[in-house]
Amino acid sequence: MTHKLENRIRVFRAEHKLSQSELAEKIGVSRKTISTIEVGKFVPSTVIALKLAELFEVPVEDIFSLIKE
Amino acid sequence: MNSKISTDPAEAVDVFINRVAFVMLMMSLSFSLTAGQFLVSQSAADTMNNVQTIVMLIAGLSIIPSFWKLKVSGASDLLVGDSYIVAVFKRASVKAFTLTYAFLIFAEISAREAWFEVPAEFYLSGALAFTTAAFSIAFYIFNRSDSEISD
Repeated sequence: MTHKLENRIRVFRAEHKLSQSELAEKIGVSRKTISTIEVGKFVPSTVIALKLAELFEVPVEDIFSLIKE
Repeated sequence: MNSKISTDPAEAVDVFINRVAFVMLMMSLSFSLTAGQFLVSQSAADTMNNVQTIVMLIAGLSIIPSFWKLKVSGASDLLVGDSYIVAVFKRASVKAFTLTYAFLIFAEISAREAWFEVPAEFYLSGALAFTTAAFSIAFYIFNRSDSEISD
Protein backbone atom coordinates (compact mmCIF):
# COMPACT_ATOMS: atom_id res chain seq x y z
CA MET A 1 0.00 0.00 0.00
CA THR A 2 1.33 3.43 -0.91
CA HIS A 3 0.58 6.85 0.51
CA LYS A 4 0.06 10.12 -1.25
CA LEU A 5 0.76 13.47 0.36
CA GLU A 6 -2.22 15.76 -0.03
CA ASN A 7 -2.17 19.43 0.88
CA ARG A 8 -4.62 22.31 1.31
CA ILE A 9 -2.21 25.16 0.65
CA ARG A 10 -4.35 26.55 -2.16
CA VAL A 11 -7.36 26.68 0.19
CA PHE A 12 -5.43 28.43 2.94
CA ARG A 13 -3.91 30.81 0.41
CA ALA A 14 -7.36 31.76 -0.79
CA GLU A 15 -8.56 32.29 2.79
CA HIS A 16 -5.61 34.57 3.51
CA LYS A 17 -5.87 36.24 0.07
CA LEU A 18 -2.27 35.44 -0.81
CA SER A 19 -0.81 34.79 -4.24
CA GLN A 20 1.83 32.09 -4.68
CA SER A 21 4.50 34.79 -4.93
CA GLU A 22 3.34 36.53 -1.75
CA LEU A 23 3.23 33.26 0.18
CA ALA A 24 6.66 32.29 -1.16
CA GLU A 25 8.15 35.58 -0.05
CA LYS A 26 6.62 35.29 3.43
CA ILE A 27 8.22 31.90 4.11
CA GLY A 28 11.45 32.54 2.21
CA VAL A 29 11.14 30.18 -0.75
CA SER A 30 10.65 30.71 -4.47
CA ARG A 31 7.26 30.86 -6.18
CA LYS A 32 8.11 27.69 -8.07
CA THR A 33 8.65 25.84 -4.79
CA ILE A 34 5.13 26.80 -3.65
CA SER A 35 3.51 25.90 -6.97
CA THR A 36 5.22 22.49 -7.13
CA ILE A 37 4.23 21.73 -3.52
CA GLU A 38 0.60 22.67 -4.30
CA VAL A 39 0.39 20.25 -7.24
CA GLY A 40 2.17 17.48 -5.33
CA LYS A 41 5.26 17.50 -7.51
CA PHE A 42 7.60 18.44 -4.66
CA VAL A 43 7.41 17.07 -1.12
CA PRO A 44 8.45 19.93 1.18
CA SER A 45 10.86 19.63 4.08
CA THR A 46 9.65 19.68 7.67
CA VAL A 47 10.98 23.24 7.96
CA ILE A 48 8.83 24.49 5.07
CA ALA A 49 5.79 22.60 6.41
CA LEU A 50 6.24 24.17 9.85
CA LYS A 51 6.70 27.64 8.36
CA LEU A 52 3.44 27.24 6.42
CA ALA A 53 1.63 26.05 9.55
CA GLU A 54 2.96 29.00 11.53
CA LEU A 55 1.95 31.46 8.84
CA PHE A 56 -1.58 30.07 8.48
CA GLU A 57 -1.84 29.60 12.28
CA VAL A 58 -3.01 26.01 12.02
CA PRO A 59 -1.47 22.62 12.91
CA VAL A 60 0.67 21.03 10.15
CA GLU A 61 -1.87 18.20 9.90
CA ASP A 62 -4.52 20.70 8.76
CA ILE A 63 -2.36 21.56 5.75
CA PHE A 64 -0.80 18.20 4.94
CA SER A 65 -2.30 14.74 5.16
CA LEU A 66 -1.41 11.25 3.97
CA ILE A 67 -3.96 9.50 1.78
CA LYS A 68 -3.77 5.71 1.45
CA GLU A 69 -3.89 4.49 -2.15
CA MET B 1 17.92 52.36 -3.53
CA ASN B 2 19.23 49.31 -1.77
CA SER B 3 19.41 46.36 -4.18
CA LYS B 4 18.95 43.95 -1.24
CA ILE B 5 15.35 45.10 -0.98
CA SER B 6 14.47 44.54 -4.62
CA THR B 7 16.15 41.13 -4.98
CA ASP B 8 14.26 38.19 -3.50
CA PRO B 9 16.92 35.73 -2.25
CA ALA B 10 14.91 32.59 -3.04
CA GLU B 11 14.17 33.75 -6.59
CA ALA B 12 17.84 34.71 -7.03
CA VAL B 13 18.82 31.14 -6.12
CA ASP B 14 16.31 29.76 -8.65
CA VAL B 15 17.70 31.95 -11.43
CA PHE B 16 21.30 31.16 -10.49
CA ILE B 17 20.76 27.38 -10.50
CA ASN B 18 18.96 27.59 -13.85
CA ARG B 19 21.94 29.53 -15.23
CA VAL B 20 24.34 26.92 -13.84
CA ALA B 21 22.45 24.26 -15.79
CA PHE B 22 22.68 26.41 -18.92
CA VAL B 23 26.43 26.90 -18.39
CA MET B 24 26.83 23.14 -17.99
CA LEU B 25 25.09 22.71 -21.36
CA MET B 26 27.48 25.24 -22.92
CA MET B 27 30.44 23.46 -21.32
CA SER B 28 29.20 20.21 -22.79
CA LEU B 29 29.20 21.80 -26.22
CA SER B 30 32.68 23.18 -25.60
CA PHE B 31 34.11 19.81 -24.49
CA SER B 32 32.41 18.15 -27.48
CA LEU B 33 34.18 20.60 -29.77
CA THR B 34 37.50 19.82 -28.07
CA ALA B 35 36.96 16.10 -28.60
CA GLY B 36 35.72 16.65 -32.14
CA GLN B 37 38.91 18.46 -33.14
CA PHE B 38 40.73 15.12 -33.07
CA LEU B 39 38.41 13.70 -35.73
CA VAL B 40 38.46 16.48 -38.35
CA SER B 41 40.96 18.30 -40.59
CA GLN B 42 43.18 21.12 -39.26
CA SER B 43 41.11 23.89 -40.90
CA ALA B 44 37.89 22.47 -39.46
CA ALA B 45 39.58 22.13 -36.08
CA ASP B 46 40.56 25.82 -36.19
CA THR B 47 36.94 26.78 -36.91
CA MET B 48 35.75 24.57 -34.06
CA ASN B 49 38.26 26.25 -31.78
CA ASN B 50 36.81 29.67 -32.64
CA VAL B 51 33.28 28.42 -32.03
CA GLN B 52 34.43 27.03 -28.69
CA THR B 53 35.70 30.47 -27.65
CA ILE B 54 32.32 32.02 -28.48
CA VAL B 55 30.47 29.28 -26.58
CA MET B 56 32.57 29.84 -23.45
CA LEU B 57 32.08 33.59 -23.74
CA ILE B 58 28.28 33.13 -23.88
CA ALA B 59 28.47 30.79 -20.87
CA GLY B 60 30.50 33.28 -18.85
CA LEU B 61 28.31 36.26 -19.72
CA SER B 62 25.12 34.36 -18.92
CA ILE B 63 26.10 33.47 -15.37
CA ILE B 64 27.83 36.66 -14.20
CA PRO B 65 24.60 38.73 -13.71
CA SER B 66 22.83 35.99 -11.76
CA PHE B 67 25.96 35.35 -9.70
CA TRP B 68 26.04 39.06 -8.86
CA LYS B 69 22.35 39.04 -7.89
CA LEU B 70 23.02 36.04 -5.67
CA LYS B 71 25.80 37.92 -3.90
CA VAL B 72 23.84 41.16 -3.37
CA SER B 73 20.73 39.33 -2.17
CA GLY B 74 22.82 37.41 0.37
CA ALA B 75 21.15 34.20 -0.77
CA SER B 76 24.23 31.97 -0.83
CA ASP B 77 22.98 30.01 2.21
CA LEU B 78 19.81 29.08 0.33
CA LEU B 79 21.87 27.14 -2.22
CA VAL B 80 21.97 24.26 0.25
CA GLY B 81 18.47 24.94 1.61
CA ASP B 82 15.23 23.21 0.79
CA SER B 83 13.59 24.35 -2.37
CA TYR B 84 12.24 22.66 -5.46
CA ILE B 85 15.09 23.82 -7.68
CA VAL B 86 17.78 22.61 -5.25
CA ALA B 87 16.05 19.20 -5.15
CA VAL B 88 16.04 19.09 -8.96
CA PHE B 89 19.72 20.06 -9.01
CA LYS B 90 20.62 17.21 -6.64
CA ARG B 91 18.51 14.71 -8.58
CA ALA B 92 20.15 15.71 -11.86
CA SER B 93 23.60 15.41 -10.26
CA VAL B 94 22.88 11.85 -9.14
CA LYS B 95 21.56 10.93 -12.60
CA ALA B 96 24.64 12.47 -14.29
CA PHE B 97 26.96 10.56 -11.96
CA THR B 98 25.25 7.26 -12.75
CA LEU B 99 25.29 7.84 -16.51
CA THR B 100 28.91 9.02 -16.43
CA TYR B 101 29.92 5.83 -14.66
CA ALA B 102 28.34 3.79 -17.47
CA PHE B 103 29.99 6.01 -20.07
CA LEU B 104 33.43 5.58 -18.46
CA ILE B 105 33.05 1.80 -18.59
CA PHE B 106 32.26 2.07 -22.31
CA ALA B 107 35.22 4.47 -22.83
CA GLU B 108 37.55 2.15 -20.95
CA ILE B 109 36.54 -0.81 -23.15
CA SER B 110 36.81 1.20 -26.38
CA ALA B 111 40.28 2.50 -25.38
CA ARG B 112 41.46 -1.02 -24.50
CA GLU B 113 40.13 -2.46 -27.75
CA ALA B 114 41.54 0.57 -29.67
CA TRP B 115 38.27 1.14 -31.57
CA PHE B 116 39.33 4.73 -32.24
CA GLU B 117 42.92 5.83 -33.00
CA VAL B 118 42.81 8.96 -30.86
CA PRO B 119 44.87 10.40 -27.97
CA ALA B 120 43.82 10.21 -24.33
CA GLU B 121 42.62 13.84 -24.41
CA PHE B 122 39.81 12.75 -26.73
CA TYR B 123 38.47 10.39 -24.07
CA LEU B 124 38.89 12.95 -21.30
CA SER B 125 37.07 15.66 -23.26
CA GLY B 126 34.45 13.15 -24.30
CA ALA B 127 33.85 12.09 -20.70
CA LEU B 128 33.57 15.71 -19.55
CA ALA B 129 31.20 16.50 -22.44
CA PHE B 130 29.06 13.50 -21.53
CA THR B 131 28.97 14.37 -17.82
CA THR B 132 27.97 18.00 -18.34
CA ALA B 133 25.43 17.07 -21.02
CA ALA B 134 23.92 14.35 -18.82
CA PHE B 135 23.57 16.80 -15.94
CA SER B 136 22.02 19.65 -17.94
CA ILE B 137 19.62 17.43 -19.90
CA ALA B 138 18.54 15.63 -16.72
CA PHE B 139 18.05 19.00 -15.02
CA TYR B 140 15.82 20.33 -17.81
CA ILE B 141 13.79 17.12 -17.93
CA PHE B 142 13.22 17.07 -14.15
CA ASN B 143 12.50 20.80 -14.12
CA ARG B 144 9.71 20.62 -16.69
CA SER B 145 6.71 22.60 -15.54
CA ASP B 146 3.99 20.51 -17.16
CA SER B 147 2.12 19.88 -13.90
CA GLU B 148 2.81 23.27 -12.37
CA ILE B 149 -0.15 25.56 -11.77
CA SER B 150 0.47 29.20 -11.10
CA ASP B 151 -1.99 31.84 -10.05
